[in-house]
This record gives sequence, C-alpha cells and structure tokens, in this order.
Amino acid sequence: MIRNERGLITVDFIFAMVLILGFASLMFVLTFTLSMASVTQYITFAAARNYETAHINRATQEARASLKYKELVNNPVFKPLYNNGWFKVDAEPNVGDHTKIIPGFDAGSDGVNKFWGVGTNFTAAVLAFNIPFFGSTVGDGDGSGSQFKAYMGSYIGREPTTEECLEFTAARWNAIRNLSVQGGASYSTGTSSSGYFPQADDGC
Amino acid sequence: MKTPNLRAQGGQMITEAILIMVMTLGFTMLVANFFKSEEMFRKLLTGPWASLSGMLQNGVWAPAGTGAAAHPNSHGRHIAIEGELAR
Repeated sequence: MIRNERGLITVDFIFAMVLILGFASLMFVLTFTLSMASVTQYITFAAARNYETAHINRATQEARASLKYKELVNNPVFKPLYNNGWFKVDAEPNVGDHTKIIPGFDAGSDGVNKFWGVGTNFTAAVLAFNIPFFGSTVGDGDGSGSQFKAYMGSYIGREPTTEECLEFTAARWNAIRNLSVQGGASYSTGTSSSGYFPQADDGC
Repeated sequence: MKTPNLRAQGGQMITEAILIMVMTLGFTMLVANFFKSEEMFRKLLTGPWASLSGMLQNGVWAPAGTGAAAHPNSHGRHIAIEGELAR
C-alpha cells in the first residue's frame, strides 16, 4: 500500500527515543553516583569516628576503624551496589595520617596536621556506558569507568591512646625528676622512675 | 504496444516518500555523527567530573590535585594546640 504513511515517522521516533533515553540514563547514573558518593562519605565518617576515639593502643584504634568500614561496606543494603560493577570502593580503608596519601593536604595544613582519619578510593564505573547512535561517555577509554574515580575521606582527628598517655606521663615524671632544683632537694631524691604508677583520667 | 499514461500519479507519492525518508535518515546520521565526532556525551561527564571528584575529595570546586591545599581542614581556626592566643 503505497499511500500508507504509518512507517514514515518511525525513524524519527526511534532516533528521538534513543536520544531522550540516553539523556535520561545520563541523569539517572549521575544522580545515583552522587547519592552513592554521599553514602561512601558517610561510611568513611563512621569509620573515622571509630578511629578517633581513644583506645588501648594505636593498632586497636586502626583496627576498630577498619572493622566499622568493612561492616558498613558489607552491609546487605550496600554490598550489592559495591559489588555489581556499578561502584567500587577499596576493600581495606586507608587509616591514619592522610597528608602521606594526598600530598596537597600537607601543603595546605600550615604546619598543623588536621588530616587524621579514614579514606577510600571511590570509583563510579556506572558512569561509563554506551548510547546507541550517539557514542560512549568515556570516548576511546577502556570502558571500565576507571577515570571516574575520587578519593573520599573523613578527617576528625585521633585521641591519644592509653598506651601513649602512660608513656607521656612516665616521660613527664622522668623530666620532673631531672629538673634542676636550687636551694632544696631535687625531685629525683628519694623517688624512683620504676615504681611510678600514673593514673589516667579521661584517657590522658 | 501500450503507450504509458503520463497523467497517472500513482508513483508520485512513493517518490516523495523516498525523498523524505532519505532526508530524515540523512539528518539522523548527521546528528548522530556530530554527537560521535564531538564526543558530546563524553564531554558532558568527563569534563565536569574533574571538578566533581575534586569536590568529593577536597570540598572545593577545583580539580582534585590543585584543590587539595584548599581543603576546609586547612583553614585557620581558633585553635591553640601550641598555646598561642586566639585571634
């Protein structure tokens, strides 16, 4: 049937539909990425809180941070999102002084290091996709989305540990004993550094 | 021998339909090729991502490498960890 024009608009329709779906997909993955970035940011914050709190020693502080990070990353809600290829985070978090990891932090710290915390590499592989007719979002890349990477962390400091406090107090006692005292007996007279038992109050 | 009837308009519609189809396809290919050659979708994401990753890492609208020194933790605040007076 020559006069049948029903198929004439099909090409335009398909073209427009693919374009609109392409833009819609772009908006979806972008907003989803920002949402997951926010979730990841909070995970590092929760881990940094565990790291910040005083504990017996520094190794335990780091272990507590790592434990909280893994607990949240492996949460049944988030685990599928971090393992289905859409988003990736490090299996082990970076815990501690981040001026050693991000050199720029050191430059801006002005001698006062406030970058103690927990961080991880966040990769949004979902941003790499191909739209038929219109090309890929990553050009000639390998398609893995590895270029959509950001380092995310939370830096809220670290309290001294019990071990550090005891060491500090013992060192202070030795320093007191070594003070030169004029007109009287020195602090080292009749005292001993070995029998000194510091009492920790509120951590330190 | 049968003489062709020049007044018949039966083929005109199909000719025009083919022309319209060629124009439509041509325009479609033109736009698609423009998107591909200019890497429109790549530019829509890769360009802004540089600043976005900087914001995610450093909290400032700058690429991650250059914005690190401007992280809010570097701002001078009223702290006295070395015993100095608050300003």
